[in-house]
Amino acid sequence: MIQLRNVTKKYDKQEALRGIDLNINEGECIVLIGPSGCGKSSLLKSINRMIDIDSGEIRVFNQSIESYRVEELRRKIGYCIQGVGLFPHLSVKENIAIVLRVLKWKEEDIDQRVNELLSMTELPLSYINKRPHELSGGEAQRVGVCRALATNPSILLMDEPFGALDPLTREKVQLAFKEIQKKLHKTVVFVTHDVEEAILLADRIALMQEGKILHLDTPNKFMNLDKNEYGSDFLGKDYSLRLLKRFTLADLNLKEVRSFNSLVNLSLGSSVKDGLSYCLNAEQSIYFNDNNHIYELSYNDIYNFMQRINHE
Amino acid sequence: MKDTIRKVLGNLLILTLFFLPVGTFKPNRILNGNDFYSVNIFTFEFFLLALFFISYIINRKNRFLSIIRSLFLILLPVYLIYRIQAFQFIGDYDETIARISLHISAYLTIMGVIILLSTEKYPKIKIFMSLFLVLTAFIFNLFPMLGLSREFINRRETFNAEFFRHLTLAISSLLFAIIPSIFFAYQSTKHEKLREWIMGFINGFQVAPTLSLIALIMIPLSYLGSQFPFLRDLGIKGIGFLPSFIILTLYALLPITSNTYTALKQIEPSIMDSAYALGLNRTQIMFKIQFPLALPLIISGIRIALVQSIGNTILAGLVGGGGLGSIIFLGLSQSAADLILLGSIPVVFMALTSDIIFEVIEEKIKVRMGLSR
Repeated sequence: MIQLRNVTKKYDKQEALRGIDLNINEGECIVLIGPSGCGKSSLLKSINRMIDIDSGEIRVFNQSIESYRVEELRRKIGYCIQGVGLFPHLSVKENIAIVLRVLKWKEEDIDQRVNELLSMTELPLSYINKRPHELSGGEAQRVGVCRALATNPSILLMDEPFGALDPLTREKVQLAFKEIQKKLHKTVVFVTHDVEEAILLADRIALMQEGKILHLDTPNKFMNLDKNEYGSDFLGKDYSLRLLKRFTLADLNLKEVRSFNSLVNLSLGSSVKDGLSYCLNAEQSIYFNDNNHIYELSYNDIYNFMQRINHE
Repeated sequence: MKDTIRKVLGNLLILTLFFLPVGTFKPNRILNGNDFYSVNIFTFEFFLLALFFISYIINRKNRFLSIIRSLFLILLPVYLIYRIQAFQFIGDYDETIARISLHISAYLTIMGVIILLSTEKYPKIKIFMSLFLVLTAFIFNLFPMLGLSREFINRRETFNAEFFRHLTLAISSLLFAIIPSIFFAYQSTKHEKLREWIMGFINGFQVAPTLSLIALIMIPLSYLGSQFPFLRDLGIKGIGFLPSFIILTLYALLPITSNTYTALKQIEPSIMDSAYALGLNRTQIMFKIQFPLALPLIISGIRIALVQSIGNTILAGLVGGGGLGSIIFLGLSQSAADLILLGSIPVVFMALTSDIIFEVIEEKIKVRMGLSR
């Protein structure tokens, strides 16, 4: 879907991108991660030509991005940024529909599309006439996503979109975004410096440093990265623990049991990390109820699971 | 703290009613007048004034008291002027040419009223109301003995013509400044070097004294007019409408340009970024995003320019451009205070009115765009 070949970019003296090669497949979510100044944002912005690269080639839909008219290219690619950048003088509906209006869509088509997007992002339809300043941070972020998706682009670029939200809201919006992505299968390039966010959302993570991609792999594989000192430093020594958040107890194939002592407040939808947290407080196994089935969970289950994904 | 100073100052100015002359009686336009004091015209009013001062001394925050006080202040100027001009002079005089003028303490009192009103709620509207009452009374000829009325009746035709000429000059020069200003500002946001040039150029006009600029521009214009008779027929000459118009337009450039520039620069980068990233082109961004967001500040720039323009237009009177300035300068040359007032009061009123009108428009736009509540 998106191919980058030996892409370089220099700002004055500083090299932002130093020969990037990257293939992004259709329908996958690539998360670019790394410390500030590693070039992740520059890489993202070069795809929709918000910045022009110095050398190399970027192809989108098997065509060099230079061959498109720049407005046309950008309309094929959704773009979300931190701070959302909603237009404060326009209502929610006008914000979402601004490009549709430029493209001269019919009024009823616009209404239908806006309603579709709002219900997909679980925003009340009554919000269409609200102004951006009347929205909470999370709501504004969802409207930003709606606006990026308005023309139904198959590629979505997201530049730390949830960076300004408080932790609780951020988690909610992340999960909501994951749900949407499951339905829509957009090709997503996502920039963040939050490792947990990367683990949660990524199909593949690209770890960047000083304008280069150090490592590109699925989140599971980063568990064995301790040989590369820089990588493990940035991802954190507790990477395995963070990785647990990506999986739910349903992924563990737990045994159903009849007898149990007491139940804890978990379900198959809870993350493995939550499950482990309960395990830490119990001497042996813990039990929980999901839909009138009782499951047993122990350290061993988690250990075995980790071994499995490690060798997958 | 600042309020307290203003309150004390305002009250002191009104207090001058008790010991400085309030008016002058003149048997005719040329003769020196006989001054008279407030004791000559006031009786029970002293009691009201005393109550008024007491209300400031006890200094309670009370809504009822504040409303009564505002009402008193709004009515004071019109009543004061009415009583002064109703003064009965004992002696021989010809009623058709005798006149009464306001004297020092009447002016100071009106000034005090304006200062005190500025400490109340909605100061601009209240000051406007107060002046409006005076003006209405004037228009309905409730002050027949007032020197000002005499001057007005004597030259009603000229006054009307100069009033509209003043308004036309101020507004037309402003209208001519709007489009170039916005264009300059928009270009300035794109090229830093250009901005320095434009701002230097426009600031240059603002710093130079208006009068000297008019004098400067008279030279090339009169040269053109004398060399090319057909230009002279088109109205291009050293005096009259054109030089004043050009200078006023140049003066109006600064407030609009600098406000528009600030407004365009103030737009958050994330907004501009996402506008570009959505695939809007420059023109679309200009009309759909930048100018709507900048509009309230642009309007406020136009407001400042208009108020300034109305004041500056007075100088057109010096170069034959007409306007109320010509009445003022006539009054100055004859040392006829009433004539000066006849010219300057409408200018103040015009400026105040346009200021209020534009403020309302600005607020309306902000609310409609959801930028304020």
